[in-house]
Amino acid sequence: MSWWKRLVFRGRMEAQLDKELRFHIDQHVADLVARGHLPDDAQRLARLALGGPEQVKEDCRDARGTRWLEDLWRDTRYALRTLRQRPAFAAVALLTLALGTGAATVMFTVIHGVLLKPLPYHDPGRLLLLQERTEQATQWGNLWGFTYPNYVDVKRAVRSLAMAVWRYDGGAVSKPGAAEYVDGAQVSSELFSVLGVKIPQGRAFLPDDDRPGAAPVAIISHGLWQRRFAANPEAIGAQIVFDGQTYTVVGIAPAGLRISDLEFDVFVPLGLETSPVMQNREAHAGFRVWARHWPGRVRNWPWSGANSPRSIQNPMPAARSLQILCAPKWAMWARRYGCCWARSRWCS
Amino acid sequence: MASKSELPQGTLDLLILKVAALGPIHGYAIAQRLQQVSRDVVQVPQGSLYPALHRLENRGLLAADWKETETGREAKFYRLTRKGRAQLDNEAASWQRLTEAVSLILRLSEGGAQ
Repeated sequence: MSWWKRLVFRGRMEAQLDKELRFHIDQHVADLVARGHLPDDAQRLARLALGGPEQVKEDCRDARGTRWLEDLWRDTRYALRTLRQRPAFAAVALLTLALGTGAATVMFTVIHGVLLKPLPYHDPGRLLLLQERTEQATQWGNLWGFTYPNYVDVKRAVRSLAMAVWRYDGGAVSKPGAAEYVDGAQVSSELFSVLGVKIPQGRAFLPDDDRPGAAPVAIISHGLWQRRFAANPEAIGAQIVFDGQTYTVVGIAPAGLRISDLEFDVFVPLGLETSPVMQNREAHAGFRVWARHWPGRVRNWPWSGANSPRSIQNPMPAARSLQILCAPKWAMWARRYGCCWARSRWCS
Repeated sequence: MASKSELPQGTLDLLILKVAALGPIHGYAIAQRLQQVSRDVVQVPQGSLYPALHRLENRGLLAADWKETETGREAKFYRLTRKGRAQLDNEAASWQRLTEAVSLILRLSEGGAQ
């Protein structure tokens, strides 16, 4: 008989156990009487020989192997009864459990989001966040996004990484339809390929789009495409006005694309930007540099040979002592929570 | 009359299997049989007989059916399963080895171990 059957037919087994022991005693009594004992005497002797029937039954139940489950069930019912009798205690206990569970869930959610969950891009293990470190620290520390000229120099010098840069650029979309403030991003033409994001409709940015004086083009989000163009494929080639500037839509981003946990509605090439900040090596203007290192290189360490950091000191005479921080993939997430505790490796 | 000995640990199972190997038998008869065959030398504690039976049934070494006795009462009859038979052979052999080894040692003449 399998254990669950023994458990389900517990009542029947109890009855059988009782019957079996009763049979034993009756048989023994009959034998003793046959040998000349008085019935009462025989009854007593038989019971003595067997031992206390309850004790024997207990031992038999133990031998059954489902004892722990039966006890668990009994204990549970006892616990529930006790809790019902003392509602205040029960409430406090439940509250404590609820708070504890909640706190543990929150902790795990954060840890999962920051550390465990891979970035939602292709082969996230090879994505890196690059940062500059300056000698002086301000109240925000000494880690910065790149200045644009430094980015350009580093990108030229470091061959082992595919690098891309972007920065936040919110603004109003005022055509077609009513004006609406949206999250936008200025991105270098490599960003989508570095992340491994394919543009399902239309095309990604080309290097030619990503320079001063190029014809202004934009990639819009799936959401904006649905809101403003009713998901019409003819949106490709249409005009939108973003932040007062007219762009030609060349692509629709995949639905649900998030960058730094934001769902940008408009992407425009960073190279179109002509403001002085693009030439300023002293100011950190919110540029974020992401990179993908090639497979087959030194594990987790994109720098090697001619691409060692020493060799990129020279192309940047005007830079203050610049160091590049290669943070692992999840540091990008850590930023989202404003944490700076990300363990990092320095390329100095 | 010789004084009764306690059963060595673990031998009760072996004895029960042996008795059950002779044919289906109920608990009381097992106790009687053990008592008779061991010529009242071995004390079979009736209180541990039933837990042992249930344990053996649980392990699949014994199977049990309810049947009528000659007196017309229903009793639980135990019989040896194939697995129980293998276990019995196994344990009997190892018991044999053990007792032979022990008696060999006990037969050593004193002063002869030089």
